[in-house]
Amino acid sequence: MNSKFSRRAILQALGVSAAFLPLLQARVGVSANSTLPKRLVLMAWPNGVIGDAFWPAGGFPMADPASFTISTDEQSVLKPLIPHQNDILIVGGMTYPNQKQGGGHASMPFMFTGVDGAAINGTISDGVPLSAGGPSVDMFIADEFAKASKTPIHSLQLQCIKQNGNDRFISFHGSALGGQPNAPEPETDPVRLFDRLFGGAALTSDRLARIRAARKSVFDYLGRDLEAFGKNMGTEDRQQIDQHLASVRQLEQELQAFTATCSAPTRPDASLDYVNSQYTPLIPTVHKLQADMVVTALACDLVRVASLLWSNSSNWGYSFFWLGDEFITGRDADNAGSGGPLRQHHEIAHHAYTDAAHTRRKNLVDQWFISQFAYIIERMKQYHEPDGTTLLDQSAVLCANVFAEGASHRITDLPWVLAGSCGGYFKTGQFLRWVGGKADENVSNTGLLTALCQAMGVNVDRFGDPQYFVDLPALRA
Amino acid sequence: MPGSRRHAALLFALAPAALSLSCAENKPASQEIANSTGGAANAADGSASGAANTPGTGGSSGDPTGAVQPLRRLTHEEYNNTVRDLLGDTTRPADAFPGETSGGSGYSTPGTFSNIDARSYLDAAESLAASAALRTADLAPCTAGQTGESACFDAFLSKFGRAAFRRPLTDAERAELTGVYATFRAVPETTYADGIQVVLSAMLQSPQFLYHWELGATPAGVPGPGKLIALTDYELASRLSYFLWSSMPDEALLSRAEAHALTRPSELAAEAQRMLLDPRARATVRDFHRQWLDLDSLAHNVKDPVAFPGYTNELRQSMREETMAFVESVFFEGNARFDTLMTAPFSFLNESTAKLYGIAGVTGNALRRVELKSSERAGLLTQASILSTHANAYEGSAILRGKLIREHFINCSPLPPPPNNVPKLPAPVAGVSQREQLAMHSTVEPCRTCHSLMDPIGFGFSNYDAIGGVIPAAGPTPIDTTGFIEGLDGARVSFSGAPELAALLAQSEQVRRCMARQWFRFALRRAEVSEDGPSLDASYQSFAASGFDLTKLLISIAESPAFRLRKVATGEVTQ
Repeated sequence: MNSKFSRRAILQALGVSAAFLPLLQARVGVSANSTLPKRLVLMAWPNGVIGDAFWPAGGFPMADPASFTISTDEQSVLKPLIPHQNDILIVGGMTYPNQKQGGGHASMPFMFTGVDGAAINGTISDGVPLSAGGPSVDMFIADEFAKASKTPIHSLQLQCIKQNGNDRFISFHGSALGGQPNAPEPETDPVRLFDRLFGGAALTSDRLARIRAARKSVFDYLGRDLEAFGKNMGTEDRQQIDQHLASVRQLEQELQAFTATCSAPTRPDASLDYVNSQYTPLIPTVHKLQADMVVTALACDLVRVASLLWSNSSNWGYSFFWLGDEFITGRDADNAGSGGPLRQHHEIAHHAYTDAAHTRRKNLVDQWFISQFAYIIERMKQYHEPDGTTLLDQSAVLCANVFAEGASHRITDLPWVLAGSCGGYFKTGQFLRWVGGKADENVSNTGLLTALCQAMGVNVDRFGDPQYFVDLPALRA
Repeated sequence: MPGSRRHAALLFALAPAALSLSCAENKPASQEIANSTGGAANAADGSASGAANTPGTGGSSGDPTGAVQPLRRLTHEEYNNTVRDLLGDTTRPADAFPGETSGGSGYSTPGTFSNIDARSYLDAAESLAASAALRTADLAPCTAGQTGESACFDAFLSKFGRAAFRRPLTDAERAELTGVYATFRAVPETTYADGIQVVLSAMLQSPQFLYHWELGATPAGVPGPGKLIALTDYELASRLSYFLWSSMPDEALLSRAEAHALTRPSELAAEAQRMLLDPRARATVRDFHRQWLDLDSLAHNVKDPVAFPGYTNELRQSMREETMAFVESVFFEGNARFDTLMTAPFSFLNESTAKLYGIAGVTGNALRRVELKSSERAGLLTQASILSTHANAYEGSAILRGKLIREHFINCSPLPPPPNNVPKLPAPVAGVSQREQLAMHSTVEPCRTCHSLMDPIGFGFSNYDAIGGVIPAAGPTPIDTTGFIEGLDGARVSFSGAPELAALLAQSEQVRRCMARQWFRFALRRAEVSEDGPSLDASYQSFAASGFDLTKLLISIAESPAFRLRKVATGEVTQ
């Protein structure tokens, strides 16, 4: 416990109200420790950006990458990050060199895997039958973490709206399996997430012991049953059963490891329909609940790896009620075919490059997504490690858009921003951009993915497809 | 950045090229464009068409063929229905499970297994077991002193195990489950009912309960990958009940299996006949049409509140119920014929939908059968549920309506997506019809290649508004509802108005074959592959011989080799 993040310190921190949190900084220097656990959070928002409103002034080749300025204009997408300028690393000029199919459409599986896609059955919502061809960096790192020291929960995958399509994943166990994406199902329900992370806190120890005894006999049986069940099956079916068995084992471990010691936030209001609502004004509520729970779970060391898919590109049913009337209705042709009079990000993004009103809306939408990123940064700065650094300082938090530009589905010069130095590995406070003037001067995103592994203490030379790998020393401190 | 733009331009140039290729490959005479299963689907089609040219063979001549049946879990619908029939529990726990995918079949099925699935199954099993344990007296009766507790448990295991695993338990399974019971019963202060509860939870999380799994009777010799094996009676019982009832077999069906009276096609057909008379078959017919026609999208369909103030939740619910009642009536009260489904001049309305349809004298919330003007309405396609979900917020959409018919009725597979950078449609102008607006689709590439397969079909619906009401002509000239279908049974066919279009579709071999394929995909929850060609063709021939009776189609699918046999998978160990 001493060498790890002090859970007791967190409990004490959680026991006081947020107003007292700054006082905790007085605890700086409790113990200097270089082996603090590292955390990884990936988040994705869709439909590209408008470059002029996104990128700070400057860019490649910059004499001094640390001297960038984020615009304070109304439409400046990165404006919410101004208070965190020293903690972020803006990374331009990356692309997915493996994504050669579907004209950018099916890029989501390429974001964090860095390898060629694999065919799946049927079509994802945009018609391109493609899923990941390998594990995503978060799942890879979580698997490596699990080999060294197990946190109660292997990793978290969250999403804002429940979806049925095949393009609802950014985290992948590996290449498509049996014609289906091989991906952990993202959790959408804040109440279920709460119960998973903090639910045991409500049980008495007697009750907990009895439930554990019952579950133990069930899990023991299921393990043998699944092994016998899958033993003679064909290769693909057996992989499905292996996945089933691994999931049951992980669940068993989560439930066994769970102790009622980590102080929980308040349980979300279970009477709201968070999950199944389309066109719901509850989206900001879900965002905040998920952010709060993820950060608390990271701080309590229940889990060290999380991914949040805020929305995929079709982001159907996703209207920005909270940004004002013009984001709700628009009696024009923009929504023809999209099924409703409500404005959606997808439509706004498709027209944002040719229509000034939509340009502004697009920038404000992207700014809102970035403000969600800023909120997570703020929350992570509120927790302090025993050595006085913040939770953010020991983490890498990557906020990534699947495209560079919405309408064209362009995937060069991707707008990605990293926060947190991850224990001093990354050199934050920089704006880097590997774009000279030619498309092939974009670098593969595998350079950053590999750096994430190394920052987490997972030593791989090259993550993803090695053929496009370019080392990016400028990222490092 | 010129470089980036060049890259983008390249992508833009590539996408339409790929697009034109796919849509241009639409060869109506050969029934299909390439679908998601690529070459395999084309091969299936090839063999089906080949066999169709040899009347009398029914496609069943020669050696039977079958395909690998991938492992799959119970769908959410099947899970809910199964716990209802097994435990009398109507809480529909699977509604809270993670989303399903449509796989290659187009019909829902759970995806690869994930941690949330494990958690969901645990939560559901514990909750179902806790409720069931309150009724131990019915489920696992044991009068104290009458028999020993272990004898009571044995009796419970035999009876319940056969229902839950849909076959008798093996000795090894009995021993395992008895072990679960005994281990927990040894914990202090536990009761008989507690022990039953834990065993119920275990069985409800067992793969034997959660998966459709068929081993098949191994024929003499050791079959390797690619060899066919016949399913056993119990396996066929499960396949049949999940196909026709979306639920577990009943006692009658299990008894047939126990008596080894299901392996002959005629025996399966007789059982299917019986099962189609059961109310559970109605639920399946509803479920099929719900998915085929995407009726769930009604729930979140939004219209302009100014133009359509009456488009309320209640009206949408009535629209959905109309279609459900209609398909049920065609299948179970009517002649079950495909052309009735497509062209019937009647439907089931209540006050709100009758008002929308301009029918006087229907009051109250209850649905009733109403005869409709045959010049205005014909079968499924002119029902408000389908017209309003294939429309935008302000007006009907020729694109969406044409696309539905092209993909779900004619080609039986999806068209490719629009390319990147689709230019914005001009805003609607008063006095300019949608047909005029979409004129560029018929001339400009890359739009033309695919839109010529959709828009001219959708123009037939120009006289229906965004919520399915009939638009009166503004002047002496009627609204132009003429259109054409490119490549229907190999020809370009013109029509005027939706009823004429519906009649054309109802008589088309291509559309009838697509109907058979849709039910085949639903039955097996997978896309058809080349080995399914003869089965598909045999089903189609029976369908045709019955005068296109849909219940006969369902029975013939159950009789087909694809349903009764499966191919040994790569890496499989057969014993």
